[in-house]
Amino acid sequence: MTRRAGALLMLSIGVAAGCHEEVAVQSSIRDVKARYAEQLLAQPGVITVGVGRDADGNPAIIVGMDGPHPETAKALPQSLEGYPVVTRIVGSVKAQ
Amino acid sequence: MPHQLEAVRQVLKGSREHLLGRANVVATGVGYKVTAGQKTPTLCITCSVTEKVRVAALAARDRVPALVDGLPTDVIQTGRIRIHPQLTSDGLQPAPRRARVHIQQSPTERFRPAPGGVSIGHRDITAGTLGCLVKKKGKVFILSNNHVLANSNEAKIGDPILQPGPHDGGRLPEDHIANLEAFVTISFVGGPSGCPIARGTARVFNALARAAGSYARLGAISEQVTENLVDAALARPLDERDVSDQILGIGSIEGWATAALGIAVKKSGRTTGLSTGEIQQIDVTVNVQYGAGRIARFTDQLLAGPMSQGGDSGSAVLDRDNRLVGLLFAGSENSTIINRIENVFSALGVGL
Repeated sequence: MTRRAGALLMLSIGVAAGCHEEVAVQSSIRDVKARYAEQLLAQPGVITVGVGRDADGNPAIIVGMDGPHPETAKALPQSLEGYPVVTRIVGSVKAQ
Repeated sequence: MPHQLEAVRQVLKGSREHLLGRANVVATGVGYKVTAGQKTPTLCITCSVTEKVRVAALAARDRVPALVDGLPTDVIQTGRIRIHPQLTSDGLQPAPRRARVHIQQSPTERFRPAPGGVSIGHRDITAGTLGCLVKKKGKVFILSNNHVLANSNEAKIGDPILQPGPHDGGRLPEDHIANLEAFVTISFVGGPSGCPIARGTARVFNALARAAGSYARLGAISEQVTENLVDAALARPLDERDVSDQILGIGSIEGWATAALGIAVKKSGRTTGLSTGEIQQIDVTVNVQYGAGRIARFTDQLLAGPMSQGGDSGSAVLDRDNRLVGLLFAGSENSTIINRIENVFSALGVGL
């Protein structure tokens, strides 16, 4: 009973904090990135999606754009399954 | 620090004849001391030798002293020095007595044996970089990119590979170093105007996603994009004695490793020489332009900061301990994209 109550509490904290409902069993960031990469790459200007760190050093999904795309930046989620989504301007990536 | 430089040059002036009289020393100069493959800010007197020899094997009178008038020395193996009439003295190197020569061979030149880090290319391309040597069934092969050795899928097995690459003056037959052995085919997606159906589908799905207020509820999008893991190819040297297992400016490869986020890396390439960076992202999926509107998508890539330019493609990427971690193949103004070496090895069936 106590364990279940604890789990419920954790879940409600997660929901109250605006996190995704999967907070109790969080997927690895690489799995999350793999799940959303294609959708993110379909957005105008998005050319890279990878796993890196945000400004605070936390694991983050990094979305790279070939230039400024304010509309795309606005449309992107702030986080995916609890991991922050950070946008960066990469420029055009060319075979060298 | 011009006064410091001047002081070193004065010391060199006084000791040059003395140093040039020693066995193997073919040139002297002023440079920055290189320690463990890294350039340091310390000025030193450089002694170029045709071949590095163990100190013990040299007579006392032929040894280059560690210090000359209190200044450190550095012994650099330059091999054969080539005459290059167009090159003007850059002021740092003493004007040679007979011919105009330069002691640090540029990676765009012809090397025999050719180490990693120098210019190479299929006869129909400009130039890329010879990455390193790899082995398959006991035989030695040159590793570089498909777009360097196989002209982005356009080449035929057995085509001639030139060192230096054609853009750097490589010509048949004299610079023919190897033949194309194998390449991993790159899957290209349509150009910017291509795949209208897939793009339209994506747009509809994404509009639905926005309407639903969340990305998380979205199902898989059916955009058919084949993902590549590597841009890699092998060439078989005509003569194994024409290639070297060293990497220019780095030295020997000490095995291989799996790159992790945040590690320091380095490469030696045809255009920017020795440069360093840090792995800023892993597991990167990226759309890469191959000129003429051709785009290929790669996944499971490493992304480092800016450490390359056009012509550096094919460079071997090593970690701090000189372990091979990747094969450089693309980049932008502020980033460099690298194949994981384990993916390269498994795609080509090779190892070190």
